[in-house]
Amino acid sequence: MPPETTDLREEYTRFIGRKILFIAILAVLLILIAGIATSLGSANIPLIDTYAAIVDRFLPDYFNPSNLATNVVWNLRLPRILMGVFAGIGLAVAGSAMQGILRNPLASPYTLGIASAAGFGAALAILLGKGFVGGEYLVIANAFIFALLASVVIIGIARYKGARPETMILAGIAIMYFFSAMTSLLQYFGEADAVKEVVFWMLGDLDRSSWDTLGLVGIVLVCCIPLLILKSWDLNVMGAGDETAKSLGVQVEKVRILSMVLAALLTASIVCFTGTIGFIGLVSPHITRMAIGGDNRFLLPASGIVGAVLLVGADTIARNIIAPVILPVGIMTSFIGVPFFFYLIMRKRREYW
Amino acid sequence: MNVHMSARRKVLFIFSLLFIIIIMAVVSISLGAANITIWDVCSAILNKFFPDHFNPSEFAEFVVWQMRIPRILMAILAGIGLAVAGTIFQSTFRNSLASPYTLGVLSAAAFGTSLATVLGIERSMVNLPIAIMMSTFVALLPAFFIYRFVKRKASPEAAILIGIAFLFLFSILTPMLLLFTEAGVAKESMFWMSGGLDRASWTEIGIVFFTLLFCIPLLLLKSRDFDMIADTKYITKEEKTRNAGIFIASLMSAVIVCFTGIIGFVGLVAPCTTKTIIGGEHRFLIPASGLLGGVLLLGLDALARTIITPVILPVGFLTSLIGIPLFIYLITRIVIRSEHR
Amino acid sequence: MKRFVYCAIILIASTIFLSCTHVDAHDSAISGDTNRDMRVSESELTSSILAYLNSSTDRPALNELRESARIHAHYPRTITDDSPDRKEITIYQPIKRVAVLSSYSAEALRTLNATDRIVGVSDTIIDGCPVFMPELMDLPSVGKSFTPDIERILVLKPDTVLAYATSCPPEKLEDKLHDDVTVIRLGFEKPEFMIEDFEKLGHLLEEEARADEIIDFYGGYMDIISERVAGLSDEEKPRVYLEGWSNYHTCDSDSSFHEICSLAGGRNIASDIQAPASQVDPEWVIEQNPDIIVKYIGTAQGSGYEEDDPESMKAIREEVVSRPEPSGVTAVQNEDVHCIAIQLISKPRYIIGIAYMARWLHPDLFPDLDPEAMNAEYLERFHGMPYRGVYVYPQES
Repeated sequence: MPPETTDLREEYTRFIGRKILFIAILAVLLILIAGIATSLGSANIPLIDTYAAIVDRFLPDYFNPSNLATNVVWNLRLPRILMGVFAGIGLAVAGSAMQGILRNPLASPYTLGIASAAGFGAALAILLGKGFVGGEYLVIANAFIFALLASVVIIGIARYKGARPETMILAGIAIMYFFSAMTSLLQYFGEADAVKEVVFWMLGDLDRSSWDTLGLVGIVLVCCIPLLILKSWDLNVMGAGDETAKSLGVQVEKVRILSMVLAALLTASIVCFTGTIGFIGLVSPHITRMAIGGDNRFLLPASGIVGAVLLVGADTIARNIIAPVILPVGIMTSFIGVPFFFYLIMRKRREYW
Repeated sequence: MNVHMSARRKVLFIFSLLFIIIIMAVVSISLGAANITIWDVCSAILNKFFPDHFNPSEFAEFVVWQMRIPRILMAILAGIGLAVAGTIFQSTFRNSLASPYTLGVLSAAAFGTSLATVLGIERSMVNLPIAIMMSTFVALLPAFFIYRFVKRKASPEAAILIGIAFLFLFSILTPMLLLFTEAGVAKESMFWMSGGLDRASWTEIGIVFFTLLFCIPLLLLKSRDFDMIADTKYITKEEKTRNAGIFIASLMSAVIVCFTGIIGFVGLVAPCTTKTIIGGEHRFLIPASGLLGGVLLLGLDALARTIITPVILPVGFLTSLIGIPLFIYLITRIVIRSEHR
Repeated sequence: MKRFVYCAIILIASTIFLSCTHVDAHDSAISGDTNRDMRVSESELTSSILAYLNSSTDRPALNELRESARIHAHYPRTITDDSPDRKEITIYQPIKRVAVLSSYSAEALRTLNATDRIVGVSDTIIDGCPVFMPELMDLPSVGKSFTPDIERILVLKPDTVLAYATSCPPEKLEDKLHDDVTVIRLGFEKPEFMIEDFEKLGHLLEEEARADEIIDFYGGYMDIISERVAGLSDEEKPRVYLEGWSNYHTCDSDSSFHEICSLAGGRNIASDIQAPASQVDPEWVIEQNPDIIVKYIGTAQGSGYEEDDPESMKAIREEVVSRPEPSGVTAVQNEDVHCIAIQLISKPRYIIGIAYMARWLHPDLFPDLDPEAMNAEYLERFHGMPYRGVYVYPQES
């Protein structure tokens, strides 16, 4: 083997190694933050008891956590934190996939209006379908249909070569406003109780997480994310332009539509249980890209973990910053997201592309 | 804009708008939850000017003069103000998507008024100017920030995105303010988040009227400069006029927000429609789009009052339902046009 | 290689899921219930008694034995609560520790002599009634009534949570508490449910006698009022405009204020309006020309037991009367504009609100009705509290 090739290979391996290291560090950080979040709460449970309660489940008989600790940790804190992790991962992966597919640094489930569309679909299903069997699935299905609808519009706009990234986002924001206006309109037709539920879709929170909903979201994540990661090579090639990608044998249209559908499904399943939590899907891919560059094979999983860290962190802060007042986590993420949004629009474009 | 319309026809257009506004005002005076015949309405109005000839019922006179006319006047004035502000923003930013709402000016002004309320400035005659000043001050922030940004050759869409970012920012900041206040004040402030015209009193109408009376002629005087500024063919250095235009437009928006809350998209729909009909000559554009804004808001308010009487829908909600589709249409037009370029 | 990694990821993820299934509810033992069917059967009781008499090594304590005998005789007790799906609630042993989210239930609990069983209360109660329920002020808080803090509830180890009928969705309450905490949703929803709800709560708390007392109090007055109102034709019933907290937000036919108004023999002019809690056109109010206007005043606005200065209530009434729009309306011209404290039209004290309303609507029909005395009786007899507070404006002379 000629020496140059070896060098190149070594360098590549090192390069890859660094990215994997980054992901590993993030994973540790996530576990750390989740650990801290588990130990915070209004029930004063000693630190050791919290962890004993967790470990006890896997290695029974060694620890003796109190019933209260087991109950609080397993039924209250862990579902909430895991929902934060799942929602963070899902939204961030959907966001980075959308940014890749549309070659648009401002894309995310929230700024493209897909989250609001899903929220409207869910609200509609709740108002109309209270009596139906399998209500939960109906809600997700309806949310997914509306998320797809919004995605179709976005992909349609993306077909035009003249569509600048900003234009596309403006269209997305218009879609968002449209669907939130429609959701407010629903308030005039529903019964008082149902309307209260609908208001929830406008502002996200993690209060409703339970093991059942976690299971549903988890299944969607486990099905969608590996598929998206499998397509990440194709996304990488598409980053160089459709023509190049086609000449390299990538079925551009197919990949684009499949990835968009997957991203929409991710968004819809999360929005159904958390409401619209904005900006996680926008911010985390960028943070990740700054650290490890734009290779989608690593960007997708890494930004997922960054999203989880951000959302769990934001939720923990929202619950503890001015206790006993609990801020909705959507407000917290907006506080991170809006300045970032400013920055993204104003910086010179194509730095990371 | 390739509209070739003779000056005479443009004037005709303006006068027909004026005519429509008067007709609509009369019609909407006779609309309402209370059943008053048109004849009663007319005699109630005329009785004010020619007493002794007409004998309207006391009830009709009261409803007409104390409730319907203030509301209708406020709708017309707010429509005119927002539409003119939108026209000026569109010209100075050379951006067909610009409007007080999409630039974040309205939500900034609402934040300013809420801040004044939260700081305990009561809404009395003495303090009103302070509240208006605060809201104008905050409203200037997004406008000039975006202007500086546009000067660095940002794309028009990026400028609007910054505006939207401001809109996001203030729409989370205002509820945050309310977290720290009493329930009564908070409810008061929620009013500014969703617009409505039901607070119009004669003094408030007076304030808005005189603001417009001061601002619009100033703008009309400079209409030639605005023609130059808006035309992308020239690279003008009309900095002063531009700054003044932005300032005046923000001031008008802020004053209106103080009394009506956020009513979005009127300032977008009216200028865009007018421009496609009579073209971009500001001598005609400013009055025409103002009048069209008045017609729009007046009509929508009449709708909001009559769709499910006696319940009053928030009018800002109806304007969004009309404005958002137009906004989407404008974006697709931009996309398609740059495709053909 | 790549696919292998993904398969591994999926495998690991699913195993973690499978291991994280529900935590089993730790069962609370009922003394004497050896087969854990939540009931003390005759044979179980007999064997406990025998064990006690035989003085065997594991003999039960006497008080345990008494408890099992009581459970055998009186439990389980079953009711249906007021939640939207009318959930069936079964209590297998005496209620001892109650966390209360709804202030109405707290009030009802005191009427039923069960205050000492309360172990935690919501912020709404703590902020809302420091004078009316001083004995609850030192109890730990369990968060806001609409967004309860489940962790704090669990720390208190209650056996029962009393919540509002609808306000807090089950996802945020029932689903988070495990099975041995019973969530009972009693809204004291509408006047018609009042009697039922006291019966249910009295039954669960074994305070039937006391419940009968309050039901008699309530029913006695209710009978008088409905009897006299029954004879009225529609035309004889005055038309009433009801207003809530904010100006021109009226109360439609779903509201309890509407119900009170009709029970007292009035016609709510907004009874046909559909949209819940909507703002209405002032013009419409004028045109309807109501004979009487009643606005309710929130506790925070300066009304109820906690308040002793009628000034703020007076100011609110002045505002209504001085509004330019309704100045020509019959109600305003006859000075038939009344303000009533929300405490009197909500939940356990409905009847007093109905009585006031009846007096305002039909002064000739009810010359003998004295709502103030009723209120005093209610407070003294059912709460052991001296009469005080600001409830209506203007006060009757």
